[in-house]
Amino acid sequence: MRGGEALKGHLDMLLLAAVEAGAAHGYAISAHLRSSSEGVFDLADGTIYPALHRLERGGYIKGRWTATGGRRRKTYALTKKGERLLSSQRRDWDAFQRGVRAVLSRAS
Amino acid sequence: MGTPRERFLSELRAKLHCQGRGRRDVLDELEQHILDAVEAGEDERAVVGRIGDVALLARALNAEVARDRTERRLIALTAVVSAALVATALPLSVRQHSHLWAWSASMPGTAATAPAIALSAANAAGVDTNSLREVVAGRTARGSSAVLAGRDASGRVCFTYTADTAVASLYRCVESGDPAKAVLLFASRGGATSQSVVWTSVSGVARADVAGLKLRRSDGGERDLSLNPWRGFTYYADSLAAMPRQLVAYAANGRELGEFDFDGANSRRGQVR
Repeated sequence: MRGGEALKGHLDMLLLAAVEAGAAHGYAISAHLRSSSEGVFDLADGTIYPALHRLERGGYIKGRWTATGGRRRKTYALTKKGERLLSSQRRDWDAFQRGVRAVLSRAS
Repeated sequence: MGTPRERFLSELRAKLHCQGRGRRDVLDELEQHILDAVEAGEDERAVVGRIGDVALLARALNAEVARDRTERRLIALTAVVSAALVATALPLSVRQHSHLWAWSASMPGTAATAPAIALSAANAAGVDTNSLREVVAGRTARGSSAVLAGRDASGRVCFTYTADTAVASLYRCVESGDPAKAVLLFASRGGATSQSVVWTSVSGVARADVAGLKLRRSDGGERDLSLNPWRGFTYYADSLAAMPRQLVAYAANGRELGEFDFDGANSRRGQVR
C-alpha cells in the first residue's frame, strides 16, 4: 500500500482526473492510478469504490450501467460539476505544491 | 470452497447491509472488477488480494449507503417542516400590520455563494439567482446550513434553506405587509433511523414586529434566540435534552405573537395562538 495514506486525502481529485479523458469502469480507473503514478500510488483497489459512490452521489461523476455479453458493467463519467471541482482542486494542489517546494528549497 | 472470486463475493455479500438493487449493484461492480482484471491477464487470487480487506470494504460501502439515506431523509424532513410552518400561519389583520416583511435595505443578508442546488431551486421558482444573499448561517451534524433570500419577478423576497450543499427547500415568498407569518422557520434533522433523531438544526427569519424568540427545549429549559440585523436566527441541538420542543415569538411589549410546536411538525400540526 505504498503512498496509501498520503493518497487518501487526494483520492477524490485523482479519481476525477482518471475519468477526465473519458468514461471508465472501476478496474480501468484503479489500473490508471497505478500505472500513471508509476507505481507510487498502490492502494487497495477496493478503496476506490466507496469514493466513486460518494462522488457519484455528489453529482461530480455519473455512473452508467450497461449489459454486454450477459455481464453488467458500470462506467463513470465526469460531469460539469465534477469538471469544476477538479479544476478548483488542481489550482489548490498547484498552490500547495509551489508552497512546499519553496519551503524545501530554502531549507536545503 | 469455490474460486477466490466466489469466496470474496460470498464474504462481501454477508457483510453488506444494503438490500435490493443497491446490493446487487455493489456485488456486480466488484465482480466486474475481478473479471476485468483476469481478462487483462492478472491472476485471480492476486486481484482479489489487491482489492483489500473485505470487512473494511464492506464497512466503507455500508457507510456510504447510510450517508445517502440520511441525506434523502434530510430532504424529506426539511420539506415537511417548512410545509408545516406555512400551515401554522399566524392570522393577523393586514391593516394593522403593513410592511412587516420589509427590511431597511432592499434585500436582507450578505453577499453569498449559493450552492448549486439552491441555484437550481431558484431557477425553478423564478427567483433571480443574482439577487441571492445569506440571511443567517447555521450548522448541521455534517457541516453547515443557511437561509438564503432572493427576489422574484414580482419583487417579493423569497427564502430557501440549504443544508450541507445537498438540500434546498422550496422557496417561500413573502410580500411587504404580508401578515401571514410571524416567523418563517426551516429545520433539518438527522439520525440512524427516522425514529432516532440525534441532531436538529433550526434556522429562520422573523417578521419586523417580532422582538424576541424563546426556544423551549425537550428537557424543559428555555433559551432566548438572538436576531441578527436581518432578523435571522439559528439553533442547533445534538443531545436529547437540547432538542427543540417549541418556539415562541414575542412583540416588544411582551405580547405573544405565535408559537410553533416542533413535536407537531412531523404530523404537520403546528399550534398557533
